[in-house]
Amino acid sequence: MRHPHEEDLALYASGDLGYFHRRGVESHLGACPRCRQEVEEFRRLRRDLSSLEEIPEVPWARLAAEMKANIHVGLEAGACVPDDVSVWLPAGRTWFAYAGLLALLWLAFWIERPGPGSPPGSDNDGVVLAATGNGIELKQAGSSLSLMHGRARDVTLTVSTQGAMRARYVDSDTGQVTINNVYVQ
Amino acid sequence: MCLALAAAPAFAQDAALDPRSSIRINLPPDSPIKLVSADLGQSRAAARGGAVVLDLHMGLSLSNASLRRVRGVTLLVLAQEVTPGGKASVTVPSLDAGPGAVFPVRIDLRLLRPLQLGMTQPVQISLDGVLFEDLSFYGPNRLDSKRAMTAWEMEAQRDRRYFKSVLRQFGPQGLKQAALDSLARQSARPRLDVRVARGRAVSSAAEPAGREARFAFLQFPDSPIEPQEGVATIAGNEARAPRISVVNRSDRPVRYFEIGWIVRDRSGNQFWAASVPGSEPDRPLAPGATARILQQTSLQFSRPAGAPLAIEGMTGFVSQVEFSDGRIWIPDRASLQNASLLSIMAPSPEEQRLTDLYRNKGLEALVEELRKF
Repeated sequence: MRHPHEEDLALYASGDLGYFHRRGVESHLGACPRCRQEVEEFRRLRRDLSSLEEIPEVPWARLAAEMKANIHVGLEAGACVPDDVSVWLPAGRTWFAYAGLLALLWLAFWIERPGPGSPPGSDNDGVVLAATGNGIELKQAGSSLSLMHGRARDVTLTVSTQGAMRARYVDSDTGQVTINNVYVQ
Repeated sequence: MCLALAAAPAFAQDAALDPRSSIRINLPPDSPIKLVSADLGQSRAAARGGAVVLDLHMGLSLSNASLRRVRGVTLLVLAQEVTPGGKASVTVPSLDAGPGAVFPVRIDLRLLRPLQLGMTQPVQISLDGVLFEDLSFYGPNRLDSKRAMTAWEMEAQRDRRYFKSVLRQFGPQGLKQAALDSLARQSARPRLDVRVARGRAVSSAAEPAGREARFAFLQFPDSPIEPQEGVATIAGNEARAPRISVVNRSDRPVRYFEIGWIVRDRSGNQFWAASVPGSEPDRPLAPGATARILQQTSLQFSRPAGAPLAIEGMTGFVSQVEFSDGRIWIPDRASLQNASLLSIMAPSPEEQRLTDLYRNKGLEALVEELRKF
């Protein structure tokens, strides 16, 4: 039995799947307890996420400003202490201030980092189709497959959003049209 | 029929290698197409740096072993060991091969794989389908090549009818002018480079936030499918996840349709971007029913010189419909002409072949070719 993609199950669970896909997935779910279970998991996850959204928004900008202000106050206070009390204390305070800033930056990065649900824009494992100067190339994990049209002139390239690319040209030797197709599965 | 091109040394060598060990050509025993010969010409395999590179330049000679004229052939090319996430095919449409006729098919393929992974059986070539003159079909049709080749054959019939009517009405000089007009349109047609990724952004950078852009639809009076509304997410030169709603205006169930997608830049130039297919072979769209297609695909557009194309607007139109009985609707030339689509869309394979014939062999050869049909 061929199971739907995980993304399709997730879209189905959220009601975002197109008509044709939805009908197909529905038909599959009728016969597949494993995928039904997966759809239930996605629905439960959505419910959990909905409750998370109810957490009051954290005023990060204000918090950051307060932290910076506190650091400045600390630095200024440190500057008031006479040098002979301790030669290392002001340097230490500066160090702590920079550490605080670094922690703040790290916190901001951690909060804004792409989560598991983000579109995998930086995913290198994906399959990408592209036209090159003399063919169509399918790249996947360091390997590639290219159908070449060489030096043929007047090459017509067309693309399907289902993940296919075509290069069409007239073979100069035979006068026949040749259509090279490369598909992402 | 199975032809395994025999033995050669292993691939993990830093020298030129015999590529013949890596190709298997399979045609079913009852195939109407037989393999006459396979010439590997300048094919070579070599280890370069940290990768194995296999360059295959195959000239296959196939013969029509059936009693009907063959109009098209599609060969499936698989290299599952190298790219399990993809496959390829080579189609020769617009053929006119009678019983017993021999015709060539060229396959130029390059495979690249990290050396440590090696290649043992990278390429398998098999028959996906054969289309005959009466539009009957033979083959496993794993790539939906029956529909694709039937649509090309219908376009071929449409465009031959057009050129023949020009010849009838305006004589050879009129035909010459029509061929020249077509060649001028083909060379002036604005082109785009497109990168495609399924279910993700094409660019490796973090996916930028996009805006929703609406399609403007061109309506053809005789189209069985009517687009109602459509949107896609646009971020700079990248378009993602087109969503289009359609209604079946015909009195027959539809199992496949294609929406042509045209993008417009800031200067108002229009480019043929892609086709957006919608299909559900087991559950056709009933007459009067509506459907919504959603493609989780990202397309990135750039001009041939490499500059990104900022997308300002989008237009869509129905470019193909397949009914559940296998019959196919395509727009007629008048509709394409009226909607100014002839200058944006690629010409049909047959129009490309006929105008190329005119360019290389002259008007008489074109007239002679049209008389064959």
